[in-house]
Amino acid sequence: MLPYLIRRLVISVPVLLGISIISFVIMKLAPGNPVDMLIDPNTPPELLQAKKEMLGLNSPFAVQYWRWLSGLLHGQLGYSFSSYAPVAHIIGERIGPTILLAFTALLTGLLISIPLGIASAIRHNTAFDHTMTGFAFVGLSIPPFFLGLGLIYLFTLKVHWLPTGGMSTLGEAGGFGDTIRHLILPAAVLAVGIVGKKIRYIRASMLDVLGQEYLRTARAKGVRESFVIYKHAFRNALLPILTVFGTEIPVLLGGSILVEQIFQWPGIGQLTMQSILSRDYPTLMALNLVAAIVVMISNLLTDILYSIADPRIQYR
Amino acid sequence: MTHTTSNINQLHPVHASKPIMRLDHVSTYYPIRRGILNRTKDYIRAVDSVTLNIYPGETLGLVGESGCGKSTIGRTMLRLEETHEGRIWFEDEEITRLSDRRMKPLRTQMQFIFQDPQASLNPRQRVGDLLAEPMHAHRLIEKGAIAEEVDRLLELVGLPRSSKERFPHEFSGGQRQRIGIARALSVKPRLIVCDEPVSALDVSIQAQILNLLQDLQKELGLTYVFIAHGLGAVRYISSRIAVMYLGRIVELADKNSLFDAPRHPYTQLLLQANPVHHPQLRSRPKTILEGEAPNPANPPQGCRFHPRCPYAQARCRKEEPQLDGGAHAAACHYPLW
Amino acid sequence: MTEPLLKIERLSVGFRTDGGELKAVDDLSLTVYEGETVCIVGESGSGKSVTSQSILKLLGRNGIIQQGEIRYKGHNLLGTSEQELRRMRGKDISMIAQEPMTALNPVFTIGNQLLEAIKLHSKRRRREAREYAVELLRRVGIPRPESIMNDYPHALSGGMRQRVVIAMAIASKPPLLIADEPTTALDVTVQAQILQLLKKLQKDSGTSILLITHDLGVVAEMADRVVVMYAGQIVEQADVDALFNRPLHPYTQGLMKAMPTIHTQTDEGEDRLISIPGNVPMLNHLPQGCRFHPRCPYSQPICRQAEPPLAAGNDKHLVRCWLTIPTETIQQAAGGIAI
Repeated sequence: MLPYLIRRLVISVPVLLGISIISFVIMKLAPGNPVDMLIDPNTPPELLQAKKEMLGLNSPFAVQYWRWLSGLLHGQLGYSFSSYAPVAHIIGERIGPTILLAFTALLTGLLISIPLGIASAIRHNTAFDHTMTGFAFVGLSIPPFFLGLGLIYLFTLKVHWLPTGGMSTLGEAGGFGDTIRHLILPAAVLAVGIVGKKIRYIRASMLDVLGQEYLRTARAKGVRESFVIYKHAFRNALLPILTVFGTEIPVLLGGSILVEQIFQWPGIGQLTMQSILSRDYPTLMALNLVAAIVVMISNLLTDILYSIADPRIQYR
Repeated sequence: MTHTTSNINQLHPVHASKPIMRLDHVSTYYPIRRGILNRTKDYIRAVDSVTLNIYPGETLGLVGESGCGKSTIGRTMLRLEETHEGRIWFEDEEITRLSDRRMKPLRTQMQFIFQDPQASLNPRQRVGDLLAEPMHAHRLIEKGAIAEEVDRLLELVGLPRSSKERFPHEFSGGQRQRIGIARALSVKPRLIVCDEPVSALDVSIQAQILNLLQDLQKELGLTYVFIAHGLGAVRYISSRIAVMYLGRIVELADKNSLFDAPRHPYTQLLLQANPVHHPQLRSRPKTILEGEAPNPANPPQGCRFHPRCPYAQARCRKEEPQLDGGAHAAACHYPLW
Repeated sequence: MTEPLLKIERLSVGFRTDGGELKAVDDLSLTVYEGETVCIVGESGSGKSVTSQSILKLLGRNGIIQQGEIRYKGHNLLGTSEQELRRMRGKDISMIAQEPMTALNPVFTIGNQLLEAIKLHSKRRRREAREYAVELLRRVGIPRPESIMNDYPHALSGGMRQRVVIAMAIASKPPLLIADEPTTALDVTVQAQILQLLKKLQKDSGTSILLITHDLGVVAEMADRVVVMYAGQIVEQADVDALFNRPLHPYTQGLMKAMPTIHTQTDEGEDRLISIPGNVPMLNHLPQGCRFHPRCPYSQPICRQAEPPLAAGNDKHLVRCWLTIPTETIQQAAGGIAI
């Protein structure tokens, strides 16, 4: 296991380097530049030139990339072009809310889709099963922005139960309960997407396991049916489920861009949107790097969990 | 030629002719990789230094427990596995390291029949197309004559002509094996390696397929390598039989001689392990071969069979026996006769 | 005569499929007495496995027992509640499943699965149960039983896994053991070991064995009595010696001739195997009349028209074939159909 992990980590270095080069190229190819975006169109061109010079935008491409990379190797992510604050600091501020949102959504998604998926498999081809399939289809096909706006309309404008957005109520002390109230709607939108995708997947995985010979062996021993399902079948059905939930983490990160925008959630997603609009290169590069690292870590984590859950899998 | 052909096969009348295939100290290893750099640390010695001649028109049976290397050797013969050491000849041409391009014309001469015909037949192709495809690929006959040839093949393996319009899944297991055989025959091969061709079939169907294989051999002058764990079928169809244990041939003889008077203790115990064919023979005393074959990554020192052999002596633990000469060869320091 | 341990009477089992309900077992009756081994022999689709699975009602979601009785020590299992049946599974009747490769749960250790079987039917404490588990593993011939307890199934060979399955099955010393093709997936050498083990366990504890197989060699090796099944029906039933000395049904005769044995001397080209022509029929395409008639070398007009009854010859030798029934009886039964 350990040699395998070391090998994986070593391989990830060139991969990250490659990703950073590609994202740097794409970013530079995009029309516009930070100076144009930032300043009043009536500014004299000499001043713009001076600004560009100051930000290092006039140097050749390779030099710019090298400057960024050597900064990174010294632990420096640079300064934001729009707020002049250190990028590391900005991201540090924003990452907490996104993690909170993503994990709440993931957990809720798991807690809903696993039992429903299993029940659907056990009651294979019954009215319940068909209803679940219908729900899954709706959850999968409803666009998040539409669902988000619909929920805001219903829960805020109609019944006034929940706030429209943000992470805390302005002018109040905030606190745990307040954050939770703000969390409910955005997390629900993300969770619906997860549940829609996963119910069918868990159902299929469970159905596959339910036909296995070892369940007959367990029944023949005299094991009660609930144990057959929750001890013998579930552990096995979990294996494929584990892989897809690992891959779900990066997807959540992408999904949060839209949802954070709708609900004014002060997280990474919102920051990404703002940085793209203002061509804030240092922040964008750092965000790309964070995203790449999250993808790699969640893949690695999936593999590790998999080898713990399935004794047949051994990494060498 | 510089290689040493053992004289073990030369006494049998069939073998007056030149071998169609020769294996000279052939080894097929599978690497075991581990560590940070994923380097090859060791090998599974699936086939370990096997020397064997196959003569035209004969059926050579290969038997042994699972993991003994009998399937690997069949695949190695047809270059479906890379040879680690040793040399392979098809007639006068050495094929051990032949390039794919130069191997291609020879591939029509050697074919493979699988245990599970279902897995080897493309489920989305009609039987007619399945049979015509190899003829197209190797440009064996004119385009206009292919349809006729497909009909001829179907008739040869005992399937109705209408079969060509149907898909493989519409057939029963026995019929699918007939399709597999027809497909192998479509390129007019001379050597066919049959890997457990009847093991997955119902008992009443097995006999049909064995008879078919035998009829085809007579009609077309085919040479078979017949790999199976069912000893009854092997005895029925083979002319000579090689018994394998942990990657090595331990006994090689004419089938009746091998079954009626085995020389290697392993062969004797393997035969005794077969169930009796009449309940009255139950009380006949027999020795049960204990344990299971060890890991081929780490075969025992000396004779590979010695840890399970009831007759093992000190010499067996140290010195590995070689296949002795003669028409009935065994690799044993103390053969039964 | 003593009360049989297991008595199946007129059992019919169906399967729901997309094309309607198929009858997998048709009007089957058989008995197993204490201490004996009964073999059910047949090919794919003969209904032999379905029969064995219906005894403990382990048919799976699509199987339906349509009619019949299954009596264990006089007690009808089909009328028993699921809860009570669960208490009998593993304790009164155990099953050894077909595929040792898939019969054990891959994510639990051998010890875990074996202890589960032990604890379900006894009040042993943890320590005692563990000692008993090790003892069971030793009894079925597993080397180093203590360390095997902590292994996962994938680390064991097919033969070793089958021994573990057997250890689980005998944990509560059940009077009846149902073994469904217990050696089909194994090498002959390992098959011989497993069959010897079953014989020894039977000798030691007087267990009855209902053994399902397709291999007449296994039958010759193990059976006291034999039931031959074809396309969902019993076609012949007899003591093992009677069956091998004088098989009465053309199907049984065909099977015996079709099976190449290692003891028959053959020379190249001579002595073809006598095969049964045609294919095993599909349950949704059963022939009219006798189900074997399209493949039977002795088929008569009546065989195409009417299904023969399972009739007794001498010595409780039952056979389902018109040829063994006196002509007058047939004429009476069939209302004068010419043969």
